[in-house]
Amino acid sequence: MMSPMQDEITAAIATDLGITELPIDTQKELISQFGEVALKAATLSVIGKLAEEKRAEFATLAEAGDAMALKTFLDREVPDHEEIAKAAVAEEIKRFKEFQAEGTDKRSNK
Amino acid sequence: MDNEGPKNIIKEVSDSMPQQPQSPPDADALMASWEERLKDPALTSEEIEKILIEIDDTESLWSHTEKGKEVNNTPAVNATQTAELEKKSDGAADAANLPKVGEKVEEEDDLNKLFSEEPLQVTKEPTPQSGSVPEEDDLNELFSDFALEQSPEEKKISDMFIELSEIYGYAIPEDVKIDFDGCVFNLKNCDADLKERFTTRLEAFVAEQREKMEKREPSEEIKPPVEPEQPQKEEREGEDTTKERKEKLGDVVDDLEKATREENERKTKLAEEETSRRSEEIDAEAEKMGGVVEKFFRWTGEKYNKLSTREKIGTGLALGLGAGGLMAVSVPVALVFCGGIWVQRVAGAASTFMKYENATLPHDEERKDTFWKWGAKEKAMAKTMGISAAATIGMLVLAEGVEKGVEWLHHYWPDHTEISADAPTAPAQPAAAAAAGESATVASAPEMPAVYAHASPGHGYEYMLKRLWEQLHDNKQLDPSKYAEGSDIHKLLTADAASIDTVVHQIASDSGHGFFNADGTSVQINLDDHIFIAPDGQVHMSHEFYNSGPVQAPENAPVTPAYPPETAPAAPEITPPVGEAATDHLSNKIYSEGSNPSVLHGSADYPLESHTPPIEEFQPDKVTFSHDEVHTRIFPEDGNQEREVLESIKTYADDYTELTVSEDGRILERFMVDPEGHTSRYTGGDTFVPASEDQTADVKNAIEHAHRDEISAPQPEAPAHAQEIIQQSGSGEVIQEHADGIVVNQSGLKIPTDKPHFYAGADDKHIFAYGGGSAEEKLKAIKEFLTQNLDKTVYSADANGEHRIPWHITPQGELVGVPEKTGGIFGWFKSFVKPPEPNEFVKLIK
Repeated sequence: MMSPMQDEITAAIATDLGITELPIDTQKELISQFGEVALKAATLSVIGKLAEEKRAEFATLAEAGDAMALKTFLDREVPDHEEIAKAAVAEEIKRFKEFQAEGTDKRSNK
Repeated sequence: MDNEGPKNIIKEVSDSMPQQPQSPPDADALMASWEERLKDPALTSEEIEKILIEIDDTESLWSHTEKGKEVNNTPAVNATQTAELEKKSDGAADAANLPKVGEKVEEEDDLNKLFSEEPLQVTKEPTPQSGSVPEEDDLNELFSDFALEQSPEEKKISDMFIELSEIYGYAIPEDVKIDFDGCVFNLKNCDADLKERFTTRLEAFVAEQREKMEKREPSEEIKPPVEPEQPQKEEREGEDTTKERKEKLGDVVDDLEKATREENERKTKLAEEETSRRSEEIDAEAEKMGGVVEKFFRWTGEKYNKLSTREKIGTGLALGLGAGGLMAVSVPVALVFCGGIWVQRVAGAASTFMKYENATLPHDEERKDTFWKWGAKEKAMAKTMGISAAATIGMLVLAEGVEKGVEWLHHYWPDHTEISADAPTAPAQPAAAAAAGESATVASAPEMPAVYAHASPGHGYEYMLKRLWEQLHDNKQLDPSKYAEGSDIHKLLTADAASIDTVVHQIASDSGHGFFNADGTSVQINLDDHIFIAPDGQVHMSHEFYNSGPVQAPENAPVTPAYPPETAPAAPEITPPVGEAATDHLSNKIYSEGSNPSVLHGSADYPLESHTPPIEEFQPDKVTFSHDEVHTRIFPEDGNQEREVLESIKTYADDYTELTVSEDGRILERFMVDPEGHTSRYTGGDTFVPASEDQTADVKNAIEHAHRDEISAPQPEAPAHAQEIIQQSGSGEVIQEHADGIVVNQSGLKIPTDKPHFYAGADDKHIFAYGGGSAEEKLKAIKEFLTQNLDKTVYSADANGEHRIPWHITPQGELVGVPEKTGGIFGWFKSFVKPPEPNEFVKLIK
């Protein structure tokens, strides 16, 4: 069971995604699903900037679960990785919201 | 009975009621309006929601109106009162009662005024009170749903309601639920401030009413009604009754709810399909990159799917979701979440943060406010962890029990405060000033680069400082002139290859940093420690156990003895801490006996400039000489299906062994075993506590098992005797097996393997049976032995040689034994004890 604070976080993310009108459990489920998309999109955008020979090193560090080592690595190899990832996530949010809006519009035009 | 009088009175009351609606809504018109609007297929969820709210509001108004209507038709007094009124002549009764009721109304007005600053709303329909006068009805309505609580504060409010009851002369129900300041006043949901305000206002009201009552003549008191009178209904022919209207309204609401539910389901389905499609699309893009990327993405997907919803939300948060796109994004942290091994790291980092925060937070309130606003706190935390502040928040909040993070988020999250990289931080200040206890002045200061140097075996402060220097110089954007002269970062940035040795030595030996003490002792460095550039521009060292004071090294941190240059150690020295503080510290840390594998000699590279560092450059292959991984089945005590865990064993060159037990990438347990066999259990941060006896046995078994099966350490050279075979025992010791079937264990004991023999263990309590061609032959020998030693237990391998069986003889002369199990680790980790091995034998018994 989530704490009220975690529910607040859920609500904040739901607002970002435009799914606040949905039941809370559905919101969490969609956030979970969208999180995977965001994670993959952000990761792919960063990996895409890495030289091929560095990608294996990135994967190894990521799988080892050492955030600091990974951060240090990315700071060195892709100095603007945070901005790149942010842009990728923002793009996914935009895409998701547009899709939501399209779904609503289609229904309205029926 | 003549109702005229009471009706007139009630009319007066009704007209005086400020809460009564002036004009009741036209129910039919509203119904028609709603139905018409709801037919519109283009209605969005939000619009439907608005209509629902409108209906709810109107229904409430309706209810109130109907209430007023019932009041208008309800005799206000009981039969006795009516009789008393009838006794009065020439209509004096009316005249006598009007002011009385008027006063009562005035009191109600006062009650309404009490909450007039905030609209008072009854949140639930009142339960009709039998025998109520109208005034009482309204009060009952007000208090009817109060969920009486028993906390002191709630009791206080309840008592005040009782006082109100005394004022009004009849019992006010003790269960009331009202809206106050937008909060449903069942108290549980109200914060302390709201309760306090409500209580204050209620107290004033009670006092005022009491004062009025004291001034009032006794004859003016309204006596409580004795018997109820049934309300009379006044219904117009051909029109819907209230009940019918409500039923209609209920149908409309049901339809709306159904429509909303269906719409939500549709939107959810579409969103799920879209996210699934998009995820596959990204996977396809990753596949195009092929090789490592494709494999890594598969790993990512698998790991992510195994996360709990909470962890998935944490991952999203780390990616900046929920902050309106304002926060920084941390792919590294999101991936750590994904890997599922973040909990321990968060706990450790949070601890570090709190110590660091204490050291840098100004103590006066005014500056503290500024400090909060300017985001230095976020930056401090972010730097402590080496990741973005946004991700830090997410990790802290979502890690259960990290209260500080929750509190922090309370301050910042609601407004989606940006944790800007440009947020000002405390300026650099000289170590001496810091040592003097001066708080950092919060003013515009350059961003401190996120550089870290982690502790590693065999290295001390100077080595770590050099790593910081390298990282600083890797970043070509850093301008030394932006940093305060005299600050550590300035010194490091201005140092070149020729001067860096001198600079790092100066920093390390600066008394302001507190790394080295005047008595020659030095603060010990643990494997989990790291140094970094703090927002004040100085080098700080993280240490989980001690409050970071104004000096860079944590105060009271355990120290290692003064370094004797003449006797420089040839290998990473494991030194026991000295002093009382160190003793206390170690009682709660690794190895209470003073042998601490994760405590490195703080002065390993301390020797003064003129001395050559005695330790060779760190070479990982010299630290770890074996790393084995063994999959082991575990048997949960709750009877659930057995699971498989991965036991990862790292053996270090200094004979310390680390065992990590994980399942699906999550670390369940971590142990460290010193050369003497003392086992400690990792409990988070850099904390180890002595392992229990059972845990020690489990760890020993796991390590022995791994070594026996997968030992990867270099084998010792074979002896000159060509017919001897070297083999590794379960404990890692070498034993010799001769061609004639004689095994020589580490104690030099010769152990025949062709026939069963009995041996005593090191503690003289255990007797082992070993050797023999067949299981029957061995069992026969054991039975024979135990028949002559009825009180003994003999341990031997089972028929398959996999498990250890403790055998004993029953009074009936039967030989019995079941495989021995370990006690388990944290309740569920159980495994079978391995069979006896030659190195356990100390002497031959038979």
